[in-house]
Amino acid sequence: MILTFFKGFRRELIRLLKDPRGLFMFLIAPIALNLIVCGVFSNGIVKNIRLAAVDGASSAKTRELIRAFEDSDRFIIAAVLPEQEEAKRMLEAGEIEGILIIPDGYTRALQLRQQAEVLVGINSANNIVGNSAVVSVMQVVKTISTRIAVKSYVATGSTVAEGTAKVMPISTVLRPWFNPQFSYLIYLGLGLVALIFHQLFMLTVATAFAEEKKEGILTGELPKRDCIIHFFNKMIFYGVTGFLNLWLNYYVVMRLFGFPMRGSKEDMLLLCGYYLFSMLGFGALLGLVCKNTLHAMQWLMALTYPIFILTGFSWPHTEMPAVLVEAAQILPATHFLTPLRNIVLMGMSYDTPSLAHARDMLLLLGAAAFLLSLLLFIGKVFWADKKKTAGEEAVQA
Amino acid sequence: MKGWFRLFLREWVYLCKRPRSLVLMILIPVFVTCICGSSYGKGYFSQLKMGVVDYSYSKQTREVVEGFRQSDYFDVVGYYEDEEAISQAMKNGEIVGCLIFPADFTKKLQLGQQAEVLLGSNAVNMGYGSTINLKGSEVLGTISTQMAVKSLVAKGETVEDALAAMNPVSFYTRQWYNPTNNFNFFLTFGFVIATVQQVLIYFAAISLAREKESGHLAEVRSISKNAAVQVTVKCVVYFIISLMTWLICSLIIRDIYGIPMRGSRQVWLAYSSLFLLSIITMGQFFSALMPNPVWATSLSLVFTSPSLVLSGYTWPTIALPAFYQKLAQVFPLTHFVIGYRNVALMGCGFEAIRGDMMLLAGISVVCMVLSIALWHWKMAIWEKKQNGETITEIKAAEPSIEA
Repeated sequence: MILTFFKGFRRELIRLLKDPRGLFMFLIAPIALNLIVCGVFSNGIVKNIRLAAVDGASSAKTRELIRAFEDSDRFIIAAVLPEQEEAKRMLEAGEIEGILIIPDGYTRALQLRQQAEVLVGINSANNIVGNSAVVSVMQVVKTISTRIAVKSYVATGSTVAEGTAKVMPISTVLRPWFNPQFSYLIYLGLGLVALIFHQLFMLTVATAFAEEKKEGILTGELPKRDCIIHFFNKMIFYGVTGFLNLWLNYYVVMRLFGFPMRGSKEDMLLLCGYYLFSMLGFGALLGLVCKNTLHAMQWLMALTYPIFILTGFSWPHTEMPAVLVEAAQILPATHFLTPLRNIVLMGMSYDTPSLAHARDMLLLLGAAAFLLSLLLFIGKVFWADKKKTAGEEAVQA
Repeated sequence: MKGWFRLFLREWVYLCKRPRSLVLMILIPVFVTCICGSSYGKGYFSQLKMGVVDYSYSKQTREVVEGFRQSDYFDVVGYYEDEEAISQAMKNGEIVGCLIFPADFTKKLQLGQQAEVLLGSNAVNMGYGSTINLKGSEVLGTISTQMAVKSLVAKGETVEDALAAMNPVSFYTRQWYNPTNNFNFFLTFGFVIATVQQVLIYFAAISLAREKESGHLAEVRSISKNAAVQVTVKCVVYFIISLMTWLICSLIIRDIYGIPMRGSRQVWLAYSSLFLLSIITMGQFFSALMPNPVWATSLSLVFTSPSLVLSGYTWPTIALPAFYQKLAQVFPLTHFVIGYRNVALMGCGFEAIRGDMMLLAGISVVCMVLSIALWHWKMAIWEKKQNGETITEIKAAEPSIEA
């Protein structure tokens, strides 16, 4: 039995090494894709938002305002135009992301000590650009406005501090917790790595089982007992190599892109282990249910985006309809993507109820999928054996 | 022409005999459309749970907290002892943001000095973070201006004069094309289009390779020997199916989930057609290039995986490193997904998307020519091999005839 076990282990290794496609999909593609995807977000925040300024009241005051936008690293003033029409055309052509409109009466209103208005239109078709731009516009205009108001107080004998306190009695300090750079890479990177790995690892495991239907252990050629040993062999082989691969992916990405590690490494590795266990079960199930590798791939390709959306990783479950949140509970990724981010960025441990729940769910889903796949596998082994025996009897007859 | 129609019919018969494939091609994108539309249905963040740490409990701090309570965006769930408790509450998921008033807040206000308030957010999810920063700053800015204006009004100035003195430059931000910052408007098109791409490239990638794998090349050759005909027939069949699927998805997006389609039907048809063609021809190119369907689909899977992230659809192109901006150009999705959102939300016409359309047409033509050439070459090799085998068989049979 032990010999069969080691023979089976060797068989899996040789199969993988002899299959350049499988090797590429299992070892090279995950790390390559993860580096690309994290590299995309490596700038972390949106800078250089292009604006066109429509200056209807060209004066020193309006130029001061435009300069304030230019001085901010969030904006680039791509053009200063006299009319809105050209700016609108540029916006529609994608040459700029927003328009700063300074009306005719801007300078005059300031001279008459009346409130002057400016309008900033942002193309918010992309919410990330829209939100970043609006927050930054608020900061730039507020600064200019305060500076003008404080100047008038200073002119009447107040100190700058007194003037500032009169004009803006409450100042706001923004503090993004757990992600102080407010970086999109930190926010999305860990989850995207898990998702890419999810797809490619499930495909590898599914392929390993689906291919056995062609000329492997699901054709009735091997004794039934050996088949069951081979099932565990596969699970252990892909479990160990998959875990090392997932760990390698996270190690490289976190090192290269400077992710903080606020939680314990052991907790993270444990969660990776639970996740891998559930993926093994689901991967095997997929490979056994699908007719062949192509069909398994078909399902994985088709379900990439629904899985990502339903996990609640980017759009949280609190904002989703209850029925979808319930449906998401059967996906292992739901119990890994956000909890892993919480360990790494927030320093959560298994004392936190949400993390303990994620661990339990991964174990439960993994055990259920593992058992189901084992039962299905045994069923298929018996069916293949029966079919083979029937064939032999027919030949003899 | 007769051969073309026979191959056309043959492809339909193949698909109809395998309804699972047909169903997948249509149902998966429709399913994703419904998932996206429903998940993002709420559109924006609201009732964000906020905690308060008030080291300076007073009428003024309560006034600020009340300002947050009155905003639809916030739900002040309670007071916490210190920042440690806030941090723990964030970890437990009780709150996603906080307001922290330092001990000298009230005193500073009473002394006519500027007081600070800290607006914290759980930026692990940037959706929370950016909404709290944006809406919280608005609330705090308004309260601050109100306080400043009140002090001048108390001295006898009018509200207008006081406003002009305290806030000489006011601003209005108008968020064009998506005024409520609706995530459904922002994301749904992207995920649905990416799914259409995934499904379509998969079927296109197996379309040619499966003929070889399943040993049906002789049958195909008996209908038409022209590689261009064989490739284009499959292209047309998949184009019809994918266009119908995309039409259904577009209608669901517009009519059920209420996401606007401000562009014209002509723009929709022309732009969508070019995108679908480019995906099909690219899939066929992989199919012609690779030795079997598994290789072809694996390549498609790896190729399309990063395409949405690289396209600039969510993370804008201006924020991409230069290398990635260049890399993104090879994906048809880059030239469609943002342009399509602009057509839908901004009502852009042909003028705005001309460049993207030209690129999509270019990708389609190049991939089509390459796949025809490769397929022709593979067919020639196969035929040569077949002829060789036939000659060997004849030669092997000759001695026995002579004998």
